[in-house]
Amino acid sequence: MTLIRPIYICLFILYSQSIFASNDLCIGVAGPMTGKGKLFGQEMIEGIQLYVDQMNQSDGTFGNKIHVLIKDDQNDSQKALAIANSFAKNPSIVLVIGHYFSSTSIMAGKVYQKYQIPAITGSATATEVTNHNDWYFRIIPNNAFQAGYIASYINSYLKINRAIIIYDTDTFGISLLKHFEKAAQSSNIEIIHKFSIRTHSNVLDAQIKHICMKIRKTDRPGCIFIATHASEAIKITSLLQEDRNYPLLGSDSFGTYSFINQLPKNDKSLHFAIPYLSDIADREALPFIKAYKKKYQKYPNWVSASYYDAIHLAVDAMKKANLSVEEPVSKKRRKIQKALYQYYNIESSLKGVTGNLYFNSIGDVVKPMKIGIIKNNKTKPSFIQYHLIPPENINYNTLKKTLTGDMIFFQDQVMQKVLVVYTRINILELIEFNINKKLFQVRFDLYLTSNEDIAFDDIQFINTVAPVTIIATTIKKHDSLITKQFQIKGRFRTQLDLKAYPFDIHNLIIRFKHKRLSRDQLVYTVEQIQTHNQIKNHIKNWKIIDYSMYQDSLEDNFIQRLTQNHPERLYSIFNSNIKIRRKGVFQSYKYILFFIVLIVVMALAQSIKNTLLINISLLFSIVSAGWLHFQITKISDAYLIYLEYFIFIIYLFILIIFVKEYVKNKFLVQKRMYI
Amino acid sequence: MRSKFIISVFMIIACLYYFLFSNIKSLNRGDCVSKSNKIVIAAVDSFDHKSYFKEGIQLAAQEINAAGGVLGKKINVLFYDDKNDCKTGEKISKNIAKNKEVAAVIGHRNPEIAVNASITYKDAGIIFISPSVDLNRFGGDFIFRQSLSDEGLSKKIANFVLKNHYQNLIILYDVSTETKRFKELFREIAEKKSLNIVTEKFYTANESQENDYRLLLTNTLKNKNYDAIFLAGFLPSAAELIKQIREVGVTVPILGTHKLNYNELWTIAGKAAEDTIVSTSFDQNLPNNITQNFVKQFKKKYVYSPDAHAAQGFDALKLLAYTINKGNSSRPVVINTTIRCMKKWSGASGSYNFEKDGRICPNNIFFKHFKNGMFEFVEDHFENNIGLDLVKDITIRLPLNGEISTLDPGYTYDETSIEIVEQLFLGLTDFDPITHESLPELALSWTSSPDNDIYTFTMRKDCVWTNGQSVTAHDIVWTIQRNIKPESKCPLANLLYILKNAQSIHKGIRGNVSDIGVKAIDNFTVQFELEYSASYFPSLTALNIYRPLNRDAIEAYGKNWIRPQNIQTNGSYGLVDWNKGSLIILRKNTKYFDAVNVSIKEVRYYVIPDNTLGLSMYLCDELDIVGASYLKIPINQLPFIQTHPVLREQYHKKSQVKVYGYGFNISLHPVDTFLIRKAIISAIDRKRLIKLVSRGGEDIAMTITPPSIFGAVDKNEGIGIEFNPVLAKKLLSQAGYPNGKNFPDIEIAYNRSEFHDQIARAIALFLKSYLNIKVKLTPMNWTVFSSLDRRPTHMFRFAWAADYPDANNFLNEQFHPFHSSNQLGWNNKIFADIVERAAAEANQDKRKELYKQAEKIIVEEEAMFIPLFYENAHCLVKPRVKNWYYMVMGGQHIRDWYLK
Repeated sequence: MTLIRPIYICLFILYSQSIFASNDLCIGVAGPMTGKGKLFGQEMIEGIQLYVDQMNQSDGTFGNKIHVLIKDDQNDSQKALAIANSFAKNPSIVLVIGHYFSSTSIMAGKVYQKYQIPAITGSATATEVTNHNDWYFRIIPNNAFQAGYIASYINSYLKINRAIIIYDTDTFGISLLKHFEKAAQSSNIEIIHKFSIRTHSNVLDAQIKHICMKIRKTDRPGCIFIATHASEAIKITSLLQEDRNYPLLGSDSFGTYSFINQLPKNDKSLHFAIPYLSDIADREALPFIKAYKKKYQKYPNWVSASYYDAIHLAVDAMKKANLSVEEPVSKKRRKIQKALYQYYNIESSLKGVTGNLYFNSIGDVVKPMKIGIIKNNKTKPSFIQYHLIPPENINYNTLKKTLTGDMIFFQDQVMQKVLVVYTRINILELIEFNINKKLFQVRFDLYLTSNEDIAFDDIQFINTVAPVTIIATTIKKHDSLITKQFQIKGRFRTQLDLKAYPFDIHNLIIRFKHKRLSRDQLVYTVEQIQTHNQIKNHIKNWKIIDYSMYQDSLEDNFIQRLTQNHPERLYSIFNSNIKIRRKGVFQSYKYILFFIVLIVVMALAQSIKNTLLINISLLFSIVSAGWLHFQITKISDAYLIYLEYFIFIIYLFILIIFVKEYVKNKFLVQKRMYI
Repeated sequence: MRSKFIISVFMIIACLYYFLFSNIKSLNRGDCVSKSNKIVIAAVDSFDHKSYFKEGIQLAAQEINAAGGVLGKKINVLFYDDKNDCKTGEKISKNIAKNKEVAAVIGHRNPEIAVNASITYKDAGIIFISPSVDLNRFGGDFIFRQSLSDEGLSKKIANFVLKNHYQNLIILYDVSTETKRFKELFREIAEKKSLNIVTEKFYTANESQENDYRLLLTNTLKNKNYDAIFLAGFLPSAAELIKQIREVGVTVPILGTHKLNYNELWTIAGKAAEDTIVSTSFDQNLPNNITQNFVKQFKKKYVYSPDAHAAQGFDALKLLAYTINKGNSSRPVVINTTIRCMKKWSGASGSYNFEKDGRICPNNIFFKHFKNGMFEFVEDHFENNIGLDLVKDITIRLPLNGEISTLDPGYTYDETSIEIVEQLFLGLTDFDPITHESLPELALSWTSSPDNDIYTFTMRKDCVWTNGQSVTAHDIVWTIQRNIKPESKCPLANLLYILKNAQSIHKGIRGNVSDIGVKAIDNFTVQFELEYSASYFPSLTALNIYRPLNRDAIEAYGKNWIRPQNIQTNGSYGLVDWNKGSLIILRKNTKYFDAVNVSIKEVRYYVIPDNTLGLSMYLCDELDIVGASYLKIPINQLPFIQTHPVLREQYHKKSQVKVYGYGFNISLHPVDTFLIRKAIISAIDRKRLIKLVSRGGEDIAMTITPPSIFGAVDKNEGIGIEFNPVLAKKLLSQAGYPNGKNFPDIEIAYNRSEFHDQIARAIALFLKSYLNIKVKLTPMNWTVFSSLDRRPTHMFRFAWAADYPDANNFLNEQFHPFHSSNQLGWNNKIFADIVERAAAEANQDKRKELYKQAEKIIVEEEAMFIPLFYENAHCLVKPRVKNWYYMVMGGQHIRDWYLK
C-alpha cells in the first residue's frame, strides 16, 4: 500500500493538470508536494482528492465542472509567491486552497490580496496569514488560539500551575511564546523558565542538550510546552523522555504522522492540540472516515480531514455565490469571497468533518480543537476535550464553571469540558440466539476508563429486553483516572435481516449511552479490540465470524424531548458488534436438493407423456412448493427472502407445463374432430 | 336591359357599401375606445420654448405601462406640437378628432389655441385637459382646466405681497384679454387687502419687431414711490420689458405669474432678471413621496430636473389613468363624470382639489426668486408644515426609548429630552466630539480672570429666535435666574451651584435671584462670577440648564410654551409636530446661523417602547440608527450583530462616560494594608467578569475617568493593577496570609439589584478561587446604601456617570479626601493637592498630566479603588448616514450628518 499511494497521488496530480475549457471553474491547490514537507502535501492531496472523487461520482456540482490545479511550492516562500502570481493570472482560477505552512501562506497571501483571490488554508496557523487580509480564510484555529487552548488545558485538566517553555526564535516560535505567556497569566500558570533555540544554528544539538540538562536539574518543572518545529521537538522529547514525571505539550505538528513515527517508543505521554481526531470524530465525519479508509486503507489524520473540509467549503461557497458563466473572473472571485463571509455563526456554518466551519471578521475559523495524547507511538484522544458553547448559553453559572475547570474561557470563547471515556466490551460468551424473537443473550466484561467516576446506573443499554444483571464489579485507580470493570449478563434485542436466508449473516449489537450526558459532555472512544476467536460460543448452527466495536451518535427521541423540555440532544453511543453466520451446510443445501428433486420430477413427467402422471407430478409440485412457501413465511412475511425466489421459479414451471398441456389437449381434440 | 342590370347590381353594391361605410362612421367613440386593445391619449405641446411637458407625460406613460397598464390595456400616447400657432393647433385638433380611438387630449397650453381646440374636442366627445382652456367661455362636459383659478392665484400673490411688506405696487400688464382679466382680478383683491396700487399701465407685445418700452417705463416709473412691480404678461415680451425696467435704473422686485416661469426669462433678460419673483405650482423639494419619486425617476430617465410643466403633464396622464381605473371604463363619458365627482387626488405637484365646473386645482403655489443666475424658492416648505408624509431621502428616522417628558432645557435630565433639546436650543459652548474640550457655539470666544473665577463670553450677533428676535446676553441671564429660583424646581439646578450665590438662592437662604453670579455686560456679552476657581467652567455652559430661552414665549404661554405653535427656538432644527408618546418631527431651521451647512432637512423621532421591535425596524430599513442614546440594542442580540457580515460593518461601539468599580474603606482591617488591597485587585479577572457576567460589551477599566472624556488616561500608559493571580497569591502571603490562611472575612456592600448582585458574587468567587479569601456580601436598599452615615464595609460598589465631560467630575468631586464624602476613608494630601491644582489650572496639557498623576495614586500606588469596567454604547448606523459621529454626553449633532 505504501507504494501505491504516491502513485495514486501522482496520477491525481497529472489528471488535475490536464487541459480544460476556460469557462470552467478551477480551484488552485498549493502545498509542498516534493522536498522536506512532501508528506504533508500528500496528506493534503489525499483529503482533497477524496472530496473531488465523491463530488464527481455524485455529480452534485452545479452545472459546470470543477477542476483542481495542483502546484508544488516545496515549502519555499519564493516559489509560493511565483505560484500565487500564476494563479492570479489564470482566468479560470476562482479560489486557492493552501498553502500548507505559515511562511508560504503569508508570502502568497500578499498576492491573493492584491489580485483579490479568495484563499483557504487548512494548516497555516500564524496570525499574520489572515490578519489585515480580507481574502485569506483559515479553517484551523490560529497560534493564539492553540497557545490559549493548551494553557487552559494545563490549568483545568492537568491542574498544573508551573510551566517551562522551549521556543524557536523564528516568527512561529515567538508568536506561540507570546500567546502562551499571555494565556498562562490569566490561566494562573507561572512560567518558571523560557528557553530559546535557534533552528539554523550549528550548535543546535548542543543547545538542546544544554536545555534538557537544565530542565533535569529543575525542581518541580510542572510541565513543558514545546513551541518548536517537529524535528527539534523530536530531539527534545527523546532527551527528556527517559526519566520525566511531568507532561510534555506541543502544537498541531505533533499530530502529523511524520512526527509520531520518528518518536522513540515510550509510554510517557505527550499532549498536543490538533483540529481533528478520528477516534472522537463527530457524526458528520463518520462517512468521511469510512470513505477514506476504503480508499487509502488507513485512518485519516487531521491534515487530510482539514483539507477535505477546505475543498468542501470552497465548493459550497461557490454554489452559494451563484456564479454565472458570463461574468469576468474578478467578479466571480469577489462573489466567492462574499459567500465565504456568509458563514458567520453556528447556524450559518458548514458542518465539516473537523467541526462547524464559520469565520469571524478576520477570516479565522471559530471552533475548538481536539487534544491528543501520544503514547507508545499511538495517537489517542485525551480524557478531556472541549466543546464550544454558543454565546446565548452563557449565564451566571458559567463563571463558576470556568473557575472550577468544568469550562474554560479564553479569547472570548467559553468551552465546556467533554469527558472522553475509553470503553471496551470483552464478550465472554454468547449464550443464546433466538431468531424468531430476534433476541440474543451474552455475558461480557465492560471496561470504562475515564477522568471522572461513571456509575453503573448512568449506563443506559438501548436495546436490552430486561435490565441486565451485574455479576461482578472491579474498580482500579491510576493517577487521576478511574477504570471500572463490570461483568454483565443480559438479553438484547437485535435487528435481523433475513432477506439472504438461508445465507444470512447477522449483527448482534450491544448499544449503550450515558443516561444524562449528551454528546457535547461525554463521548465514548474504543479502547482495544478483542478478536472474535476469543468469544465462547454456545449457540448451535451459528458461527461467529467477526467482532468489532465503534462509536456513533443518536438523537434522543421525541417523547423524551417533550417530557424533559430541552432542545434536541445528541448522545454518544457505544456499539459492540458480534457478527454471526448460519453454520449448517446441509441446512442450506437441503432446500436446493428439494428444488432439484421437484424439477427432475416435472422433467420426468414431461418425458413420460402420460397425462395422468403429469397431472400427479404437477399436483405434487404445487402441494410441496406451497407447503414450503407456507413454512418460510414464518421466517418473514414482510419481504421476500432468497428462498422464495426459488419457489416462484417452481410456480412458473408448473404454470408453463399446465398451459402447455392445456393447449396440447385442445389441439388434440380439434385434430380428432377433423378426423 | 343588360346595362340596367349591371347598374342595378352596381347600385346595390354601392348602397351596401354606403351603408356599410356609414355604419363604420357612425360607430360611436365610446365603443371604439372601449373595443380598442390600447388606450390612446393625445398630448399636444404648445410652446416653442423648451419645457419638459412631453417628458413628464412620457414618464407617466412608462410608469403606468410598466405596472401593467390600465384595465389591462397599455397606454399609447400620440405626441403633437402646435408650435404655439393657432392654425397648426386647429389642424391638429381636427386630426385628433378624426381618430376614433383617442379617449383624451392633454395640452394646448396656449390659451387661444386651447379655446378653439376645446370646441372641436367637445363636439368629438374627447376628454380635454389643458392648463389654459377658458372654462367660462367654452366649458362644460369633457373640458377640464388643470390650474388654479385666476382668482385663487391672485389671492395667493396678494398674500405674498402682503407678507413681504410690498405695500405700494405698480401694475404693468399685457393688453391680451387673458392678462387684462387677470390684472383686474388682482387689482380688486389687492385693494380689498388694502394694498396701495400706485398706478397701472398696459403694454403691447409685438411679435414681429423689437419692442421698445423705455419711454413708457420712464413715464410710468419715474418719481413715484413704490416697493414692487406686478407684471402680468407673457414671455418673451415680458422678459424684454424686465430687461428694460432694469435699464432705466429701477431695482425693486418684479412679481410675475407662472407665465414667466421659464428659463427663457433668463436667456432674454440675462442679468436683468435678478430679483424677479414668479409663481409656480410645482416644487421638486416638496416633502411628499409622490413628488420625490417623480423627481427621482425623472432625473434617472432624463438626467435633468423636472420643471413645473413636466409635473403638470405627468399629473394629467396619471389622473386620467386613475379615473379610468376608478370608473372601470375608458369611455370619455365615464371619465368625464368620474373626474367631476372626485374630491381630492395627489400628484407630483402635491394635492389637487376638484370643482364641479371642471377645474382641477393644485393646492400649492410656491414663489421662486431669481437670484444669482438661478431660481430659488422663496419660502421653505418646512416652515409651512406642508405635508407630514415621510420622505425617506430627506428625513433621518430615529427611535426614542421613552416618551419625551419635556422640551424645556431647564427641566431635561433624561437622554431622550437631552437629545431633542440639542437640536432645538444652542448653548454658549459645545463639546469637541473627540477631545471633549469646549468649543464656542453661541459664544464667539471667552476670557477668564487670572484666578479662573470670572468668565466673560462674547456672543455671536447673527443668532436669532425663530420669531426673528436676536438671542442676547439678557436671555441667558433671565434663563439662569429662572432656573435657579426654588419655585422653578429644576431637577438639575445643582449644576448651577458653581455660580456665585446660586446655592443659597436655590435653598431659599437668599431671596434676590439677581444676586446670582451672572450678568449681561451688553447685549452680546455675558459674565459669570464663580464661587471658586474652575478652569473647566466652559464645559458647564454647554449643559442644558445654561442654555438661553425666549423670555417672551415663556411669559406668554407659561407651561405651554413648548407646544409646536408657541415654541421659540434658536438651534439647527425647529419643532414641527409633536405627538406625545409616538412621534416628534423636527425640520431644518432656516434662521439658524449656520443653516447653510445643515444638510438633513427633517428629523423624525419615533417613540418605540420595545427595543427588540426597534432592532427589527432597523433591519427592515424603517430606522436609520438604533442603539446608544437612541433606543438601546438588546444585549442578547449583540453577538449576532457583531458576527453578522453585513451588520458588523454598520456596528459601532462607543465608550460611555460611566465607570463601575469597587472602593476600599481603609479605615477597616485588613484592607488597611496596601499589599492586601493590591492582592485583591490582582485577583479580579475583569475580562472574564465582562464576558461572562456583565455581558454588555463593556470595556475593561484600569483607571477611574472614562476614556471618552477630558483628562482620561490613555490605557497604553499602563496605569492600574492588572489581573495576575500568581502575583496576587504572592502578595497575600507577603502580607502574612499564605494561601489565605487565617484571613479574616471581608464584607462587600452594594445596592440591591440583580446586576450588582451578580457582579459582587463574581468578585467573591474570584477572591475565593484565587486567594482562598471568604467574602460576605451585604446588599442594601438604595436609601441605606447612599446615605452618608452608612455602616462602613471593607469594600463598596461605586459607579459614576459624568455630569460634564471632565476628569474633575470624577477625581476631585468624588474622591477628594477632604471635600468629598470620602467613602475611601483616606487622607492623602498629595492627591488632594493634585486635584485642586488641576481644577484651577488653565493649561489643558498640564491638567491632563495632573489627572494622570492623581489616577496613578488612587488606582495603583495606593490601590484605593478597583475600576472594573466602563459602559459602552452600541450603535447600528445605516450606511446612508454619512459623517455620523457620536456625542457621548447625549444630544447628537445631526446638523453635521448628511444622507446619501
